[in-house]
Amino acid sequence: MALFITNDRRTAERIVTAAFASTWHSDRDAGPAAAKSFFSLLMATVRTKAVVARTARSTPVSFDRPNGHQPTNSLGMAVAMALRDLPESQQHVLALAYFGGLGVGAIASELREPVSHVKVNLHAALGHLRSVLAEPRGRAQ
Amino acid sequence: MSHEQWTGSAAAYALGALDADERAAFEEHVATCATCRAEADELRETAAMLAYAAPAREVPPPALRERVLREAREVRPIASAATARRKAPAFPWLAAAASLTLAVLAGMQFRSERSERQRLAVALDSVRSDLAVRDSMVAAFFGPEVHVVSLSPTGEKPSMRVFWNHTRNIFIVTAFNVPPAPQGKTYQLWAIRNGKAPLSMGTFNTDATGRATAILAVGNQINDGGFIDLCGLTIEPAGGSPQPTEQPRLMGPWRHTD
Repeated sequence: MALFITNDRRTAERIVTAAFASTWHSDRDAGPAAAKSFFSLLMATVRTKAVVARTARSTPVSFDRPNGHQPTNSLGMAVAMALRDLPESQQHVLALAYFGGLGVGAIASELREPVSHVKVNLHAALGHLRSVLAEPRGRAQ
Repeated sequence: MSHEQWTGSAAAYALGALDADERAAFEEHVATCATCRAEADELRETAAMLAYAAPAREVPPPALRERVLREAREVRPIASAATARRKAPAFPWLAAAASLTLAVLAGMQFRSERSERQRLAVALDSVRSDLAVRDSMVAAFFGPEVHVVSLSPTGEKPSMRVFWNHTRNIFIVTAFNVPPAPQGKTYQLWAIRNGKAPLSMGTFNTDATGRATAILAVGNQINDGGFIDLCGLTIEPAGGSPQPTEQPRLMGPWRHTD
């Protein structure tokens, strides 16, 4: 993810190393819930650092996968499948928000849509992913 | 602002897409609203999974894992040192040094044990997630809403099955003894209806042992097209083709499991 967002291998490696160290030493309790929050916090930290690192660039972002780079793990397959179910407009706003690090105002300007419409699309998209992906994760607990 | 409007901002909040004022207002609201707090927490967990959607441009170098772990072992939180300084009593230097040493040792021991517990918890959670996905896949094979098709070369034992779970809107493909597609090619499944052009059901590849288990999303065209008569398998260029470029290598009729 860091490499995808920054498009710079050295920066991406530095971000992952720093993010893992800071997350690892953050104050958390042990246990499955903490492990889940560890993953979320790690991903959020990597994503935030990567977005900050690439703010100067205006690389277009999308969930499109180049040929030969399909996910190989089952969770990756599930996420990719759930994303493919979404209308393109929802995929786009999700990519702009998550990988592009844009706020709803910036997304609305970019797409020339009302902010309320962007929020509705984000909520519908993330809600769909939650409903599709929550079942197997829920059973794991 | 109504409750529905707050809920409508939860996804943008989970994605970090609210501006500072809105974020502050939302956080003020969730401090007193358990429903919105739970919604935001769930959506944040979901948003974290989007990391898996990032295209893997290249495999991370093996040395990176070692560097990440080494850095995590070496880094010590600044807060601990500051806390230790604040709590240092005005004892004679020897007693202070001994106390500090004990505190550091105890802290290191605590941190080491906590880190090990957390490492195991992360590993366990990962295994559970993978297992749950597989459980979910197995569960999707059964039930009256599932249709199935067996594909085989003429006169030979079936070597592939495709399950269509209408509830989950997915195809589950299992293949045995199907050699991997050549370099730069992929297997592609087709839904065939009498008198109509075949519709792509998706692409997959088998491993070196000739096996594959793949989940393919059912597209709207498939859902809206009515009953499928046949399912066919072809080899196509990587990424798939809009229409089959060869005669099906495997083909079979759809039927109900019950």
